[in-house]
Amino acid sequence: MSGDGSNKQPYAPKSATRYGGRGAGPGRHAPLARATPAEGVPPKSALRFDRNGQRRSRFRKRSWLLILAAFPLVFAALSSLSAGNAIGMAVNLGLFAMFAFATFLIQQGGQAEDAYLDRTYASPPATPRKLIGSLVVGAATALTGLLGWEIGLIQSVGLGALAAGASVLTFGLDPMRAKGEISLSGVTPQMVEEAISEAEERIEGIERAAADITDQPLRDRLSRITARSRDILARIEKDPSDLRRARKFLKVYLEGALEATRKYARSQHELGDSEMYLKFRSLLDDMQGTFDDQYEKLLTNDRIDLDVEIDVLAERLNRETVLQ
Amino acid sequence: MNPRLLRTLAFVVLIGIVFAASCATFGHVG
Repeated sequence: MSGDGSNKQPYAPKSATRYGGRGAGPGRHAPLARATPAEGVPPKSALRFDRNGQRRSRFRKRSWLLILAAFPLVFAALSSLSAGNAIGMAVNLGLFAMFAFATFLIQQGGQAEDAYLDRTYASPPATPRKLIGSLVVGAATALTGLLGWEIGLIQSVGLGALAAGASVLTFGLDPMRAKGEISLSGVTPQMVEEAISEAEERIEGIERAAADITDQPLRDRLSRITARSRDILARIEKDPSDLRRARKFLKVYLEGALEATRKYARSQHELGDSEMYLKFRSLLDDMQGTFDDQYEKLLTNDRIDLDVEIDVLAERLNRETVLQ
Repeated sequence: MNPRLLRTLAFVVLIGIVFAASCATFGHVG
């Protein structure tokens, strides 16, 4: 990323924090990070979810079959044991362990790839586990041919190479390149991260101010607004192409809501002004409607026509007595 | 060739090779 000489932590994409990769380290917990299937939207083939909303591993069945195919090695080990051949037993068990380890690596690689596919911006995993797993499958097959089957070196190596190639074709290669770093709209991962952090701080500020408001209907409206704001943030993180316009929207609307909420919370007991209450409630209703509207537009990828709406709301926020 | 078909064929080849090698080892020992 850009070297600006500041002391800020380098940007670490969320996939990198778990699976290594550039910038890996203890990652911030991101409540927005989880990808969930949207209602009414059929999941893509790479985004399969089970009933609990957790991603299903694509390789689970196939990789278990791989271990099953290697299971005769365990019987060979037991046969060696019963024949009193300890070395033979150890060799056969070792070969089976290699296949099991390869399966484990492939499954881990599959999970890392799923995490990569989840994100709009992602770094590739540090170690290409699927590729290494496939190579281990090839090595285990070659050694099985050489030590177990005793078919000769060249045939064993050929068999191992064939098995490795078949494994690569079956399970695929790991993601090798970072995605989302170069964006046609000029949006960088750091911009996304900063915008979301700022917006999240404002949302938390609204929630803290709302806790001081005694009127339940007003608190309900505010909690709906903050919930919808978080939906918008989640949407931006998934698809940051509209970040510039959404950022301005979030800044003005959330800043306005935050200021209005704080001032109302401070003065709600002093004046007992029903007109102020009604104006604030009406303002919140309009904001809720606008937030819902903008979220729908983000979902359908419509261009957000913010300028007019922002100007209208800003003028209204200035005009309302609650802000004076 | 259909990628899915290719993956399935590759998987069958992989399982076949591993199973054959394992069974041959077992047969050799037994």
